[in-house]
Amino acid sequence: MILNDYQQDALSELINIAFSRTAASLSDLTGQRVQLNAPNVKVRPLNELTGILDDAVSQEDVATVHQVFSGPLSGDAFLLLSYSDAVKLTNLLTDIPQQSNRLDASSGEVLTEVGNILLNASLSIFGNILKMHITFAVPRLHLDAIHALLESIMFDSEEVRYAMIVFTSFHLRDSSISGYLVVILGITSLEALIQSIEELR
Amino acid sequence: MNNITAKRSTPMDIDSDKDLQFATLHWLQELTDQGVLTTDANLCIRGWNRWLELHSGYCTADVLGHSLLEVYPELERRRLDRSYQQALNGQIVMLSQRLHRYLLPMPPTIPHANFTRMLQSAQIAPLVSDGNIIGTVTVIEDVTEREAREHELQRQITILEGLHEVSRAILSLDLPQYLQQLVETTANILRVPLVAVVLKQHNQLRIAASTHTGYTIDPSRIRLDSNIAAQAISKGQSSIYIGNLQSQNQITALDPTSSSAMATPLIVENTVIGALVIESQQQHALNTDDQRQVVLLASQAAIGIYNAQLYQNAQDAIQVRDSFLSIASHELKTPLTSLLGSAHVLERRSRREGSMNERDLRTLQVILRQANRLNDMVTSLLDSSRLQKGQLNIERIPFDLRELILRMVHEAESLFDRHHVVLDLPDQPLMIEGDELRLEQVLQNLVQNAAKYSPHKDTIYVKVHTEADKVIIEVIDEGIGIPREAQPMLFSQFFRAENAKTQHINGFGVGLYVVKEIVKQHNGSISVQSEENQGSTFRVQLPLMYELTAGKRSS
Repeated sequence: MILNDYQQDALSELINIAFSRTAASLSDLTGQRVQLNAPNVKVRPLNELTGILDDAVSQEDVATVHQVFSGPLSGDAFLLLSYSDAVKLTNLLTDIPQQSNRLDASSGEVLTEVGNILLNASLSIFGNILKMHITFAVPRLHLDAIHALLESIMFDSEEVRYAMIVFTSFHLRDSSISGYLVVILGITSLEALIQSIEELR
Repeated sequence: MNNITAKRSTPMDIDSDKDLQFATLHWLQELTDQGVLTTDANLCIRGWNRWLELHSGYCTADVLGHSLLEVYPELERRRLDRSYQQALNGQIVMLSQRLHRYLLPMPPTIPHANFTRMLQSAQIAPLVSDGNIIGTVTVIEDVTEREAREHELQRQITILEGLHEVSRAILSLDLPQYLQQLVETTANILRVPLVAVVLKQHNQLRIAASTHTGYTIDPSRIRLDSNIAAQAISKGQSSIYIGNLQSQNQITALDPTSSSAMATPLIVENTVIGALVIESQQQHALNTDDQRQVVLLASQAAIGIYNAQLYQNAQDAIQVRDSFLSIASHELKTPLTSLLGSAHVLERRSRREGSMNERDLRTLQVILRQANRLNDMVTSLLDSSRLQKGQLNIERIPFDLRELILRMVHEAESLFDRHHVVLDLPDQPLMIEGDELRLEQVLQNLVQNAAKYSPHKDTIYVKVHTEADKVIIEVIDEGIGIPREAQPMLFSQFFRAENAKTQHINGFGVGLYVVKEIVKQHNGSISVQSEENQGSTFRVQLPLMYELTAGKRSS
């Protein structure tokens, strides 16, 4: 699927707004300046996703908050953090005296909440601007390699052979935490999204 | 609460799909061990389960039909009303207790104090019917116990890691490094600022290591009998802990500003070698659990310190021995040289002039033989001391090893009373680059050893062959052999196998050490194969200058 220039621009702008809301939420939570890199929007076969993510997230264990959303626009949203950065982030947010270098169930919950806030912030903007009603499933935290998770998405969906992959990294200024936001849309949702964008014109 | 139960069992009016949903939820929520709160789209409470009744103090009848914000005005202050708005927009909101601590505000009238300490984790989700959001569901879980378990687990992990670090550090055997690691790990585990190790040496106490966290140990205090370390060391039993130093004046801390202090004696084999001291400016800085950990750490540490001290002592002894040998062998060498020289002159003169009778000449020869032996021993001691200091220099000049072997075997045989050498040597020259004198010393040593350690046999085999660009020299005897357990140590300095000692064969245990070092400096290697009472094969491998193929040299 090829996007025309207008579609590409509008999509990028929309995503920019969505993700900057995420950065603002993260900044609210942590009280630190959050630097957000310009989101990279790609329409690619889904099986290329692992390769794209491999470049960004090394083989290290990854903490992933995964949230499925559905409605006229449906897909998967991910917040990806390296395990050590996930620990740093939870330690930063909680003021318990004994800082840990592990994620236990309670810090896992913190991380899920953070992921939930960030993913809600970015995805609800699609709903608001495009006047669509999107519903969300309960966010899930995964603490294993990202590959298995992505594979399960690929197997789950029959229609998805292409996907829009929105990919950005953010960086917390004072604590050197960085992470990635990834949104995967199936081809039907992508068409719906493009159509809504066209209607805005 | 009795009236609540009665109220709760009253069936709800079912007049629409929505009400059917709420009714279904109502029964479901009674089955779960979590708090389940349902509201309609106006945030009016439509469901309040038993868990909530028990934990909030509100019975269902009190809250049903009321606005959530009216029942809990607190929610607005905590900005949780926004979360409900999000849920009404179709989002799911997770609330973790570490970020929000107490989600469900408890009414102040509740008599049970523990309730207010409950930690909750919650999820707020939209209630969807036919694609429309008709309300919200909040599921609240009590995670107080889980949090406590995780906290305890975390503490145990820190302690285990600390113990692991302390026991692993024992391997370093570097005493100052070990002690520093010990105090820092202990400070880390217990979260106290000042940890020190006080050691007893020659009946005096000294601070061997301490954390550097801005705390100042008053060095004069260590001399006081009243200081906590001295007290622990003199008592020598478990540990002393003073939770509030201000309350008594018999015991003083190392730091005058400390408010609580603990000292645990370090005991090895019933001897107190020192104490592990922990101090804090906070009163009652340690609890009984911490104290147990300190005792555990101290028992580990005592072994570590003892081992490191033993190692240090051994190292010191080796150094003393080496410098003694170096000085002694140098000092012995000078008079010995003049003794040998004079004895040779005397022998030659008496042979030339016939000035000595047969008996005196024999005596002189005994003197010469023993002086030569002494000279050999002193030379090898000197060599080994030079090797220790890295002063044994090897020249690198090309020469024919074959020639050297032939000459050496001939000379050696002339010195043997009984033994003879069977030589197996290739025809072509064996050019190697190295120190001819030193390699002669190597071969002499091996052949002399072969004779020395085969007192009841008389044949020694020297077999030489080449393999690619290497020459292999094997010196084989049929003597007493080397016990298997002694073989790994054979090339160490001053090592002698047990059977050599019991059979009264003299030696220092220096020769093979020097041999190995010389071969190593020639980029070669030496190994041994031996069976007790069967004999030994020493195998020296040296690099050739040229690879030998069918008698020709190829570069």
